[in-house]
Amino acid sequence: MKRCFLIGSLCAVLMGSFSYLWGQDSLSLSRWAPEKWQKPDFSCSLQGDALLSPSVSEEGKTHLTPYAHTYLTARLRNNYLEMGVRLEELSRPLPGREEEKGWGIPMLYLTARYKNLAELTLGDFYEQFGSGAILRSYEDRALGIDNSVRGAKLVTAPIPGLRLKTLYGQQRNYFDRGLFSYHAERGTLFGQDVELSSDGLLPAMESEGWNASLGASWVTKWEAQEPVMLTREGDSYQLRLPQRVSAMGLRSSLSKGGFRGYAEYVYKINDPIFANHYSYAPGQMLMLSSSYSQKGLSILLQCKRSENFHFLSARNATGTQLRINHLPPFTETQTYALAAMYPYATQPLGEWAYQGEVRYTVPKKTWLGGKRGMNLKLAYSSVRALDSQPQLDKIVAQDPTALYGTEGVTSSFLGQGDLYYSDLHFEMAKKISKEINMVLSYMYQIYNQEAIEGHAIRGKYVHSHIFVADAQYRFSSKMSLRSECQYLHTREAEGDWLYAMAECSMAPGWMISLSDQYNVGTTKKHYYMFSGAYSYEGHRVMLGVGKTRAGINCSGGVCRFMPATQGFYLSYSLQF
Amino acid sequence: MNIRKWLIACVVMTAWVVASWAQMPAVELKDLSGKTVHSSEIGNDGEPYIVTFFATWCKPCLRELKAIHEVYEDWQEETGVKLYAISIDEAQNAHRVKPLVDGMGWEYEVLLDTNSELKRAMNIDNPPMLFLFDAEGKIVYSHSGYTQGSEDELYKELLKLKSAE
Repeated sequence: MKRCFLIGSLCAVLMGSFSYLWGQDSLSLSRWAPEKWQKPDFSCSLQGDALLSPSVSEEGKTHLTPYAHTYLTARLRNNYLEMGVRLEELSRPLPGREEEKGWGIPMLYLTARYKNLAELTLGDFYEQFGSGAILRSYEDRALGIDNSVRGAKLVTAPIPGLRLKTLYGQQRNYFDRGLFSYHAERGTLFGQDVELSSDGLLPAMESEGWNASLGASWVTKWEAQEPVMLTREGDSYQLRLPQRVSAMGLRSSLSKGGFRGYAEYVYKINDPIFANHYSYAPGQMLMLSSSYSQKGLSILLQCKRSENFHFLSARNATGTQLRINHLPPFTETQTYALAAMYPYATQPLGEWAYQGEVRYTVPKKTWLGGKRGMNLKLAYSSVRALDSQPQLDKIVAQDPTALYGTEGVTSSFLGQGDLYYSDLHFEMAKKISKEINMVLSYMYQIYNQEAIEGHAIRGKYVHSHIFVADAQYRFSSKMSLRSECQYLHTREAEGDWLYAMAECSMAPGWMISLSDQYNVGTTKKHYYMFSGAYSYEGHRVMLGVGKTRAGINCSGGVCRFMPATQGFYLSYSLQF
Repeated sequence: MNIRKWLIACVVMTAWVVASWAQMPAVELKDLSGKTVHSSEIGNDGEPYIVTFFATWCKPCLRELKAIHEVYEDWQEETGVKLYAISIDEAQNAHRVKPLVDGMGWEYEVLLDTNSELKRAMNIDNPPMLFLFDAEGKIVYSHSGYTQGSEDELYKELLKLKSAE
């Protein structure tokens, strides 16, 4: 019934668009005029990471164990057709990424497009509806995420200002299926998105400087029954799991001049999965964002409330796989090593999050700004649990199956519980002279280690003061040296940390860097890294030796995610 | 066996067509006011243009954009070049881009690639990644990563391009 309504409304929109077009004069119909067939371009990219890790056998002999991830992507495209294939070789994945083991062709697609008016893709594809809160299929190789959908996707823009997206298929789960097949036991999904924007539909609004958009999405997931048992008063029961779960979303944005506002609401009907203790409560997410900016000054305020909004292709999926939607942490992404040591991860059962940021550029030739001006930034973020969380934790601790088949635990809309994460960050960047550039940063961070990691080393909350000094000195037009010194002070977890890094770059393509992360507090361990990188045109190669802790590392001129490892590293990216 | 067939097909395709990919793929992006911009609209009316990928959390990217900002006005006067800064920030972070760009006082054309579609289509691994396009829309120079002084090398390439016209 609902499917008929959906298809019916889609037809109505397309017919309406066709009639609208029919009434247009030849000038606007020229957007439908065919283009000349262009000669296809071929592109190829080879990218990989390898690690040679030393290990000692029982006889006391040291040998090097190789690990490697290799990705070979090839594309043939022109203005009408596009074909792409990706070959992945992960027979010996890097430490910590064992679930990605395998090799094969996980991506193969054919796309036919007609200008920017219609596009049909068959095979494996990626897509996002709105901000990704209801559906996001993407690839993040460094984190081992690839939830591409294998099926068909149609994107059309029948009239200016209207965009329709329809997709159907099954998500990827590493290498658990063959090249042309589906996996019989996993769910399939259907998605529909409509977006209206004023820049095509209401030109009068555009000329006044306003821009508005409205979007609506619908995503349905089908998954076969599976046996989930529970015991109540001595009797055994099997849950009647819904084989079809739907989610719908609405979003709107409005902007004029320096003001920008955005609101998104998504709702999911009962979706009992392992992560929510098989409860039948609905899920919802509301996000609001507003900002004002002008040259030299900007203010941003955002908030989000999510509840039971973990949308998966398979009920018992864990980790990062088979996620239909994507709710990234509602905090500022940190890239300085010590500031990124205790990163927040979105809690699947729900949270209330706020964040704000103020940026100001002190003008040149003022007392504070000096000769070249100064950039200032103040940012704050705070994430709290919903008020139902303590009750939920208590019930589940007593009996993990207590919530199976129930309506779950209700929480009030505005109620908030425990603090999960909070940070206050101040940063100052200044070019002191023609040769010297400096960035100073201070952050106060509260991290609920017990809730986020599931265990706490010394105290539930980790309160840290993090100081960062990042200075760059330019010796000549070809050579410069950048050094970072960071200090994290805390009484909990592993205590204080010290990080120092020196990076020497020689134009045009050489960079050598040496860094050490030292645990002053408890373990007294050194995590050092010595690396050299060379980049030429679009190619890049990095060779390093050292020991690392997991985290985002921004040195060598590029930001990379590095898992915890030791040994010799090779990282390359070649484009043809 | 299947894999070998595909690899051979790859090689054959390479032999059959021009082995250097030069143009911008077809992807829908958004600008900072929310308007949809198709990648085919990226251009500079018969002048060269620069396309660089960045993210609000990518420090080397911000250093690169800051460094070019200091000389951008001069470059525009001398060569008429235009710089497109494409952000790969996702979800709520995409709303951080306009405050960042305005707060820093940058005058670039900033576009949002929130699902990294253009980044993927151009085979980019990590930001920063910069491309210099000639007036016809063909890539003539690209550079991965940023080191202090990279902008001087970019400028030399830009001048080379202008003198070749």
